[in-house]
Amino acid sequence: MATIKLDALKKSFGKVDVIHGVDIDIKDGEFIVIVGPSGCGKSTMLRMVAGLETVTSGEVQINGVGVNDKEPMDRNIAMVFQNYALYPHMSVFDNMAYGLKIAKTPKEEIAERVQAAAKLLQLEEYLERKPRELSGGQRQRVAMGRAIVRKPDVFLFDEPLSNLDAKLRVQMRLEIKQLQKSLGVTALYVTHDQVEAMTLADRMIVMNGGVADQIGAPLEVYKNPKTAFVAGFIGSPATNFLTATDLAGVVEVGDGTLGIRPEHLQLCPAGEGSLNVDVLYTEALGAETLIHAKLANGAPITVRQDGQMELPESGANLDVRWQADAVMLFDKNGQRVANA
Amino acid sequence: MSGMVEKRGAGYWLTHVGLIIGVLIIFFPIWLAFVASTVTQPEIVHPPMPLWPGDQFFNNYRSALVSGINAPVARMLANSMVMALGIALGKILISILSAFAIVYFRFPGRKVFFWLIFLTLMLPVEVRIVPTYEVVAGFGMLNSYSGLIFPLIASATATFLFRQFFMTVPDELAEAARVDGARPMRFFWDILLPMSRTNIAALFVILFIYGWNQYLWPLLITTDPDMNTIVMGIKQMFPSGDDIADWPVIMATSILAMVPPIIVVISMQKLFIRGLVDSEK
Repeated sequence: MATIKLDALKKSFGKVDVIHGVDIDIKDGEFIVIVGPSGCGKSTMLRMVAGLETVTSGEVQINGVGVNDKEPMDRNIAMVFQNYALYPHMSVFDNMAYGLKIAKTPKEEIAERVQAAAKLLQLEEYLERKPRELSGGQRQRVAMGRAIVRKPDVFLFDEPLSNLDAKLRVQMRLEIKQLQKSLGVTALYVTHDQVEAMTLADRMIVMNGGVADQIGAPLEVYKNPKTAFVAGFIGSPATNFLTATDLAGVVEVGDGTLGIRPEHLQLCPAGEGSLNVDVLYTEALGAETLIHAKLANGAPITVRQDGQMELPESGANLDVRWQADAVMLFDKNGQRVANA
Repeated sequence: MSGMVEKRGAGYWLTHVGLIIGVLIIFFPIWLAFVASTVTQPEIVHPPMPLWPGDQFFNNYRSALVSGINAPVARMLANSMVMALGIALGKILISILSAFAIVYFRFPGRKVFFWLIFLTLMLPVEVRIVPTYEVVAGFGMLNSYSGLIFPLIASATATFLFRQFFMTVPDELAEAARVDGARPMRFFWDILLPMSRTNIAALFVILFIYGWNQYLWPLLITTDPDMNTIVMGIKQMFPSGDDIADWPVIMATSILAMVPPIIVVISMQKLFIRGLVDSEK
């Protein structure tokens, strides 16, 4: 049970600034996902909250208390690592119990808490096994169990699902969400996978080059991206960005860009829409179809349509059209501007 | 192992015959030494020397173990055991701790210390033997176990081996332990040490034999026959001048000198090979 506050948090490695000042107030029990491409500083930020990296300037507060100078163990946090970081020579039970043993918890209580966590995670029959005798999903669960038994204030997840196969990832995603909700523990979760971010987050932080471009609820971020980077990163397939030359006077964008999501575009017979395109190829995914086309000047554009609809021929000359309110305008620095 | 050799023709048998002959050639001197340790002195010195064991096995070995020539062989075996164990365990202890310091801590002069350790690789015992003798004599450690053990304990090789192993241990493991509340030495005891046990076993075998086979250093600093180690003691048993050598007892001593290393190698074979081949991660 904890609130977290990051106050103008900055981090530099030597002369290289990795995080340029991030501010956020995290409410008790909130699930926050930090998402961004590799190298954007998201893991560094998590490690600063954990106490594994020092803070260059600014402050990390947990429950209103500055913890910049506290060791990880004194912050009452638990962390799940990408490669799980299980102790290879210890049984599952000992792995989960290690933190409690160091904290000199009485033996009966350790056994009780480990059993309870094992039950929650369906690990009861594996308690005597070594990590190498477990599957990837089971190791992931042990890593979660190790976090749970300590009853921490905060869960920190560093890309915990990226070593799992696709199916298991979906399953574990749901389990993590359920677990966090039922335990009511504040969670910080780092990922580069926007689907994980969209599905897990109460609020998400979209990081771009050490800056938090946008902080908000997933749907809010999707509907209302504040920057071109966010518009391009969140949503799949990625937003189409068109410049003045691509648009050829259809919409006035000056030196900025116009962003339009593929799902907001429709194909129509030539002459009936706003822009003329040549269809290059189509990807029929069943439920949906992605149509890759190019404009008259060669710029690529993607259209997403329902899988039930008719497939256009490759090479067909068609128009695209859109609703005026689906358009997102960005200035030349990528900042969102109000629709004209 | 079936399937590794597909053809089981004449070539298969020929290679085996070749190998058996090779083993016999290598084993023959040891066999001769064993035969010599079971016969009487006149039987050895009158050619041809017998090729099959005689009936003096118990007599010769008893006289070697109990009285020996300069000192009882049992005493020399004990000295060698203390020295070999001291060197092996001391080397492991010192090198695992220095590797831990070098890999896991950022301290001023870390690189300098690393290179200093590296430099000692170029200074085997024989090269630094005179100054080392000076120092040991100055500390009054001649004819003592500490004099036999301490100068040989520092080991760059073992430090490197542990350093290489520690560097393959994922950083997240140390971080997870830190989050779990383990201080550095706790991490070392609870996690690093158990993970290194196959490496430790492999090193123990190598270093035990290294310590057991030391010749020059004990020869130099043990003047008291009661402090002789067995490997150098064999040489001390050779007669000077016109004395008659007691070959059966000397040969019995040689055979006895081989027994402890063989026991160590055989009993730790499994761990030893695992330690060299894979490291448990």
